[in-house]
Amino acid sequence: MTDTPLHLGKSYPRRDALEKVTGQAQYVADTDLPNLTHGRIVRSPHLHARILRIETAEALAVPGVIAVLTHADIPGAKIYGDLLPDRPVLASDKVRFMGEPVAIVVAKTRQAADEAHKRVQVTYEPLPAVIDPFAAAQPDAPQVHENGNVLSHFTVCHGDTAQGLAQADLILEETFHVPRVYPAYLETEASQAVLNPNGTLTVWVSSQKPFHDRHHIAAAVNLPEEQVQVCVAAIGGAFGGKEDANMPVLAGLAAYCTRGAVRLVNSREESMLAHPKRHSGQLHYRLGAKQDGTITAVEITTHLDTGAYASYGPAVGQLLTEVAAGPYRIPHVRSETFVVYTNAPIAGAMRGFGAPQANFAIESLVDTLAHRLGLDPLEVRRRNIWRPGDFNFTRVRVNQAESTSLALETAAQEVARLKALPASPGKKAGVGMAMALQTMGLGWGVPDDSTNRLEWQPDGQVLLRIGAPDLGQGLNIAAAQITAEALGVDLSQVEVAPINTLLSPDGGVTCASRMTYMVGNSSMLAAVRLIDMLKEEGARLLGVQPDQLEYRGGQLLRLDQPHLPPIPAAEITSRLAEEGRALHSTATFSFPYGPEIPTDLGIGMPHVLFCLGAQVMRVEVDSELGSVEVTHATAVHDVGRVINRAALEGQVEGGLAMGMGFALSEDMILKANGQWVDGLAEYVLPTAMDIPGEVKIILLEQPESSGPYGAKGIGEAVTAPTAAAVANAVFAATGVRVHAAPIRPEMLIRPA
Amino acid sequence: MQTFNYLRPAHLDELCQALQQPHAKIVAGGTDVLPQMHTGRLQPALLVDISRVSELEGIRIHNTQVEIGALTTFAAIQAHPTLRAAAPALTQAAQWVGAPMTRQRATLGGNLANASPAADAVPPLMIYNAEVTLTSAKGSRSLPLAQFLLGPGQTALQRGEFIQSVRFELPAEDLGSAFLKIGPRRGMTIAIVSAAAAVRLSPEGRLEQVRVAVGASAPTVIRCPQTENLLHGQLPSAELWQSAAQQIAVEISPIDDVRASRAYRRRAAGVLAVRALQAALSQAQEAAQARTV
Ligand SMILES: Cc1cc2nc3c(=O)[nH]c(=O)nc-3n(C[C@H](O)[C@H](O)[C@H](O)COP(=O)(O)OP(=O)(O)OC[C@H]3O[C@@H](n4cnc5c(N)ncnc54)[C@H](O)[C@@H]3O)c2cc1C
Repeated sequence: MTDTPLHLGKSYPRRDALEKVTGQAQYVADTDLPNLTHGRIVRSPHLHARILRIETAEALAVPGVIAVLTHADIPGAKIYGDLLPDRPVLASDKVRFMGEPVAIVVAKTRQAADEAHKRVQVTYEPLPAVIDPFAAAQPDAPQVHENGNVLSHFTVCHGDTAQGLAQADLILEETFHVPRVYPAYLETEASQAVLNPNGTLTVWVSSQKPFHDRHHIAAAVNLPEEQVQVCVAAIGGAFGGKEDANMPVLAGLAAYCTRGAVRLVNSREESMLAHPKRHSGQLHYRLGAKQDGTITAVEITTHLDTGAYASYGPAVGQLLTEVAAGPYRIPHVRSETFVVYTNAPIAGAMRGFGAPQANFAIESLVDTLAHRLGLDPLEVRRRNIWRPGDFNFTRVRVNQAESTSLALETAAQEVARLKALPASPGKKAGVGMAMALQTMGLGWGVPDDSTNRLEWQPDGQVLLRIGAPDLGQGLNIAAAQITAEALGVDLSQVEVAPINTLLSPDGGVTCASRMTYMVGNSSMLAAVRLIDMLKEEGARLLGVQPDQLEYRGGQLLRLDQPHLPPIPAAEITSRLAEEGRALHSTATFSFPYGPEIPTDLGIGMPHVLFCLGAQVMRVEVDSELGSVEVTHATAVHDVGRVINRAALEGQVEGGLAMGMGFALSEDMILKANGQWVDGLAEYVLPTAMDIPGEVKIILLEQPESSGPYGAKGIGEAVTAPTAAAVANAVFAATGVRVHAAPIRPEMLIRPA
Repeated sequence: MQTFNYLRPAHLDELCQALQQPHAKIVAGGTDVLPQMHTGRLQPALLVDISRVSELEGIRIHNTQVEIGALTTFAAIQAHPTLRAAAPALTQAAQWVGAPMTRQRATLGGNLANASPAADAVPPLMIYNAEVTLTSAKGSRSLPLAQFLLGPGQTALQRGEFIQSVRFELPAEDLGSAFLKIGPRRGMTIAIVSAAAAVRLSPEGRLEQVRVAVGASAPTVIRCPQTENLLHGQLPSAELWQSAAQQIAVEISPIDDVRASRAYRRRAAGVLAVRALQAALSQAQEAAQARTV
């Protein structure tokens, strides 16, 4: 390792950037196949209904139609799911949400498929539906599944909250509501598949987890996994929403059953209805504190709306349970979470995975506490935040707990700076802040590995095969930088291969703020191995002992004969190629859990690495209209070590914008006419015009000892605190405490 | 999207002819038509693309008469210096339409014919007392804008007719005017409420020629005559503005939807209209000062 880094911290442009902005990138929908046919999914128009009959004759009669597939046509597993197999590939007896796939029409043209999909006649008997998680958890609620609506229930206790609350001078009891947020990637879900002449299946996906997809596709069509090849196309955003095998499975099924090539591309409406959202729900808090602001206890009861099928709901519930008390040393904590089935769209993984919801509640509540005690919110946080050596209430020692106070004090300076700015005429200005708390990794007991492979090619280029895709966040460039750093070579010498399950190692799912950390670590291990192998092969070919060679910057130096010119790696690898051999190494990094980790909380809990930070927002609220403008935002995040500065800043800006949507405008609601908001005219995403005029990014670099060059995750921590910081700023400006996101102007003005 | 026939006339007479065909549907910039076809709400059998009919383009100003061709885009309106100086409410409205890309395609004629209660060009044109010129094979006729707009998506256009242009008298220098809009976000947004206002100050400082139009608060954009009467001849004061806002709330008939509640619209319409009046007033005052200097 060199002292001055070659590549770390540099803003190398992402290699896919130019392709994407010039329209060259090959998304699933751009990848043409010979004799391509088109699928169109027939979806449930009901929230909840029994299927009495499916008639396909009229659809089959449409010219160009090749097949209409229903559950009866599925040769293999008819049900799938990553955590819990509860999701029908195609609905059979019942539909449980609006947009649920019931059949697939395959036709020679997209037009014929569109036309025929309207002619598949499904006879439904509508059933009572429930779309509120609290109501759904009650015994008399309509039953979404046979075994009751409470999908999972977690309680983590620490200390004795009754005792803690008894010690309090003040007890706050408040309920918060959080919205159903759509990930809103530019590229809707798409997949295409072809059944090859040899009976194997090739499937192109826009997915966060190609190897899981392969598993579910193979099961559905009854092929061994080795006979299913999954290729990852360019991905136009994912944010957790593409941890859903639905489209890959349906495309694979359609190609298999029609013995051809089939493309499936969702419309925006289909994407909104039928693919995972961030969980909406309600969070009930009882928090006790002393007069001086010291929190003595907190009791939390959360009901999350997981929609009709499990997806990643239980895991989201676990993560929320763990972070619901915030980055605070609270002696008595009880955190209880119900993940509840409803007839709403499926909720699953989405950026933050439970943390944004919890953060909105706890960080709003801490501000309320300060207000009620007549204290500065910063002071209340100072009194309660984690200190070095602290354990959280799941009995995990907090990594770099000192970054909590570092982030808080950095934010405090920003609060002071922004408070000094005068309000515009007719506006009320306010500054608010919130701490960021996000976990990294999949949680104890969940297999959490990253395997990567390095191939030193005869031409001297190093090919990096990552096992989990870059979703657009810049994973590939970060991984290339870390690899080039570890090998001491020029960045242009490292190439990242596209993912293909035949050639790439299985790297699991791109998720959980874990990629730079996991892929980085595994690439570094693979690089060390590759260097050793190069020395070994070099020694053999040169007829010297390996210890007579020293590796430096992509070359071997002869220690025995220092006057000889260094030998480039390409010389060794090309000679190996002549022997029909290749130089490659594979390494697996597994998420580290120390022996002292509590293992009694259940698989998936606890998480042991935390991403810490704080955000500060300044808002101006129109006194008469209640409209909120975020004028300034400061994001303070401990990232361990910056790998690619531009990509990192992109994550912060994008994450903050996403957090602003959650705070101010995004909610997928059921309209008075019984239809969901399912288009981008009514589902209001922030645009460039809504982003604060000043976005200041302050990156703290407190190295994570287990991270590659000290790096840790950032992808989610940037979204978690935004909504609470906005809500706290709105309170500072108006004196109105909102308990629900998104904050609507009507909440902030007295009725006419 | 289903199949349809497509005609692209190059001149007015060809256009008149094309529109004789049954089920002809005009498309100009397509920014309303294409989304409607995409959702299946609109399924035209014949699309008549008017985008090459050059006679429908351009902004012409003769003496004080403004004529804006139906095909004129909001980008062109927004950039026009005379309009900016003398009819700023229209310029401001044009700046609010969608995003820069939308404004390159979206036309004035399309905005009027689409007849959305939230159409941004309508409130300013209402306060400038604009008329639309409708043409067909049989000839042309002129209608005040308020008589052209009949309800959401409904206009006085008859079969075979198209909007040729919009005309209005260029406001005198001392008539101040302004347009304001609020939506769920700050750009690319459909109005929750919009308002345009015009006003002149008499030598004694009284309000004259008061005109107020409110959007997204009734089945069509509407003028608010009672509010205008209430303000006419008065000296501006805080109480006056307050009663104007209250009067506006009475004159409109807003709905509840996902963007805002009826109660919020009532309140916001009053606030916005008064702010537009105040902006128009300060402009009128500047004009008056410039004259006395
Ligand atoms: C992303 C986006 C953002 C938008 N934002 C706004 C906004 O902020 N404010 C706003 O007001 N609107 C907005 N719109 C709506 C739309 O852009 C405007 O209404 C625009 O002015 C329509 O013009 P066009 O030329 O595209 O009309 P088209 O879509 O071509 O036509 C619209 C209607 O007018 C008819 N028509 C067009 N020209 C004529 C004519 N000369 N004679 C008779 N009938 C005619 C058509 O038959 C059709 O019924 C937005 C649309 C989009 C897609």
